[in-house]
Amino acid sequence: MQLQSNDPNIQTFWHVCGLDKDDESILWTVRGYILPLIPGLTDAFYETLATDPQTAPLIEGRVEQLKRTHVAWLESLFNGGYGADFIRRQQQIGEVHVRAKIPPTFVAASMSFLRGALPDVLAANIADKDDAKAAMGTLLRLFDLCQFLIDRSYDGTLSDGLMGNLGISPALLARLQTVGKKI
Amino acid sequence: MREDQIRTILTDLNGGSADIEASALISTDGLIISSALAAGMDEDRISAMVAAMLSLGERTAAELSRGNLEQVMISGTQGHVLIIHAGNDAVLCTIAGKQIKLGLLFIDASRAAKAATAILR
Repeated sequence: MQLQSNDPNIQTFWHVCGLDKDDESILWTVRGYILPLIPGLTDAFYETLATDPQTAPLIEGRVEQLKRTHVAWLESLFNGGYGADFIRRQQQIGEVHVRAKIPPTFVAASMSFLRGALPDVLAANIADKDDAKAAMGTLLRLFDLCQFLIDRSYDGTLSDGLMGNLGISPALLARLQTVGKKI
Repeated sequence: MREDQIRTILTDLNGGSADIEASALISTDGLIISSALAAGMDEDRISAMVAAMLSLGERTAAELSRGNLEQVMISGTQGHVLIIHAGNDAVLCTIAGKQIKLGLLFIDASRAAKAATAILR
């Protein structure tokens, strides 16, 4: 995977989590196994959301539309191209979630669900154990990257709103966030 | 040198009235420039809160078409906190007891802010 970002935080994340060219080829190799499984994973995820008192109201009446979006997002992870457009798409997901008043818990839980489901799904569908293991590492790194980018977008959008409404600078916001627990 | 001058301004402000208990000069980013606060006051927290209050006052004044902000006054049962600009980059916070004559507080604080502005320029 080729990093295409000048953002030092993204560069550090990319470097430390170890995404490289091998990951892109691994994703391409396993996409044939994984793509048919995505709708089932999405169904299971939304069934779980429907049983939680906090998330059920968020999806009520628009489950099918949300499932289509979720499937499209998951499929996009296997389509190659992890540069600037990929990064921007993940950030837009965060922005859309903020506008829709969907809390970050939703994204974190979604990623956790996928991470939890991965080992069984990969083991059951990829015959070669080494391929399954490699795919799991790559996908876990990719989910982490997506969550990092989406969460950053959440933070950025919320901070921008706060700074805009209160008229405070980024430096003052940082002081208020870190100066003491009582603030 | 400048630090000493500002410190003197704050000390003089505090000494000008028995009801002025403390004062501090703070950057608009919430950092302490100089302070003459009472023991037990957390200057880091106070500076961040005061800078935020001034920003919020400015934004509220603008939103409600009240023109440029002149001051933010917080009054409690134990006294007052007066927050005013000291130039574009600093804020003077004056903490006074309940008995203070408000006119005197405004004059003394404005004078101190003007003096601090001249030094910071």
